[in-house]
Amino acid sequence: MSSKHALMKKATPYLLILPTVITLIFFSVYPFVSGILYSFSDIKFVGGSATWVGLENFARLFGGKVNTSINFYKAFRQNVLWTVSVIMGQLIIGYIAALILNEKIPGRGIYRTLIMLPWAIPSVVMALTWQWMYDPFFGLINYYLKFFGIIKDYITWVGQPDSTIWPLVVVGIWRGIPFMTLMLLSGLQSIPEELYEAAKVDGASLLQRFRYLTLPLMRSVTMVVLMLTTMWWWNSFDIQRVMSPVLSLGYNSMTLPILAWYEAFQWKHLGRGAAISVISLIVMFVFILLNAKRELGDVKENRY
Amino acid sequence: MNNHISKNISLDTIPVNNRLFTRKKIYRAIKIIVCYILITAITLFCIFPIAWIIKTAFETPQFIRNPLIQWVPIQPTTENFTEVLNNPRAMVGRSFLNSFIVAGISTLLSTIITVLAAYALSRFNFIGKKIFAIYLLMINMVPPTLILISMFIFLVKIKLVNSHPGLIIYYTAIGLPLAIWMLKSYFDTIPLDLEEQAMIDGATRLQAIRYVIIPLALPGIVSVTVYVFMTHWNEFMAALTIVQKQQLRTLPVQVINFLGFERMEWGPMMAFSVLVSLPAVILFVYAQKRLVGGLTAGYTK
Repeated sequence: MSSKHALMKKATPYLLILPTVITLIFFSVYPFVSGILYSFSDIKFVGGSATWVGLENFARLFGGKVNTSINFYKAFRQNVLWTVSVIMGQLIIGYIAALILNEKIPGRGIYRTLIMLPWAIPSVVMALTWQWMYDPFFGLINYYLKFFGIIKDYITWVGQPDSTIWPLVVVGIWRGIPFMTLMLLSGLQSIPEELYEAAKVDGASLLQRFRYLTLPLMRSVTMVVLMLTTMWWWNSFDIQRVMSPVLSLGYNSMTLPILAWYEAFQWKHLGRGAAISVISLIVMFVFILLNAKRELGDVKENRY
Repeated sequence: MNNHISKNISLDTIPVNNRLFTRKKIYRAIKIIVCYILITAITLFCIFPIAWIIKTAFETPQFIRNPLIQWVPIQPTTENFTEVLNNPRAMVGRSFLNSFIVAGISTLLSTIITVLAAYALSRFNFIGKKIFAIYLLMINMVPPTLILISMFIFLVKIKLVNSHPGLIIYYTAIGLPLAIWMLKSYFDTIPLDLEEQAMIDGATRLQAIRYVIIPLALPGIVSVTVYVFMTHWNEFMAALTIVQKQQLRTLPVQVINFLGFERMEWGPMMAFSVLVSLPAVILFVYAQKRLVGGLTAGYTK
């Protein structure tokens, strides 16, 4: 083989990833790095000058008594609450659905398609629809809650300064069930049936089979899905933005991405918005590192 | 007590196959009933908002705010659709065109770039591969707001803010990592021998990709393309931020905007929602099997 040929062969993979690398350097790596730099600057509006101010943005956020800081702490708490409850809800319902759909019951194809359907609907449309269903006077939800005697008077669920985040959590859970179910189901289907047969022969009960077979075998799939969904829902924006527009400070549905967006694009503190995003990124990064050592190890060991 | 024992004995003397209700059969029946109740409840929870969109969209306006909830339109009508299509503020046609341009072009670009990179990741070992792969995974973690803030400043500098190319660039870059990851796993499932055989027969690497790999990987490529298109079609935050001119807005932003004008006019709103969702839903139903297969191959090895 000529040396020219060999060189060509070596160059092939680099040529193949070249378009990706160029795109990512300009529109992913560069914005990422400059975003971090902006978080140390006082850039106020687009086209304005960016002066290095060190940790001032961060000091202001953590600083205590000013409004910025009060909002930040609140948004942070709400973000944790939002992510944990949405993911837990999705995981529990998704697991139940996946376990049932993994059984050979008649009609499971139809059930699967129907459960998947919410996924195709744009999140903005979904948030709007839920807003309509939460309507205090003519909404579906108040009607049925009253019908079944759960509430006495109609409740204004969303869009008020004192509205809680729970109505939005329901929407988040609802939105995430299809993906969660799909991923867990595919994990369940990769478990060989013989294992269950063997366990049955040995006299393991349904619960025992779940505890000692399904859960350990599903560990890795569950972890990967949890990692992905945690990243997505930690950064989620659409539902909160559509269902409760932050018209004034102090809304309960204000999470970190919402606060960062408003700081940056509504109140023109681009630097501060970047700082909030950087803190949010660091928290997520540490969380993932602590929880996914084994999965990250898989990636390093070339097992991805 | 006696009675109990004798019952047991008498039950046990009947051959197992002849018994109408064995304990096992009863357990199994109960299990299946519980399964159906649970899965029906979950499915109903998943689809009732969708049913409600459709019901509201086809309901005569005066019955929409009805204190009594009914699931079938009291007087079915397409009035809401004509209302939203003829409302100059909704700009349905224009926003549809915008969405098709932005989502279509960015999906096409992403797919081409993705196929090349995913193939390289799946088939070659090269220096920097690990860093490349880990970057593709880790970038998922970065808050979109962070990228958006500096992308916005950057787009202003190169004068692409408030334009479709600006949005297309953003979408193409943002969609890549996940798409490459998904397709790479799909390529991994195609045996190496096939292209090696083709290359021994004298095909170049590119010919092997073109005539052997791409046809085989088509289901995976289709599912990734559909997934990417759906994501771009539905994207809201960047579309809201980067494009502020009304004529250039994509559908999700335009829907919200329309709500601002027609506060609480839920009939036309839901009709608009149906129109916005339709392309993504049709694609989803069409590609559902492949999409599900491709996606799950991507994440769960």
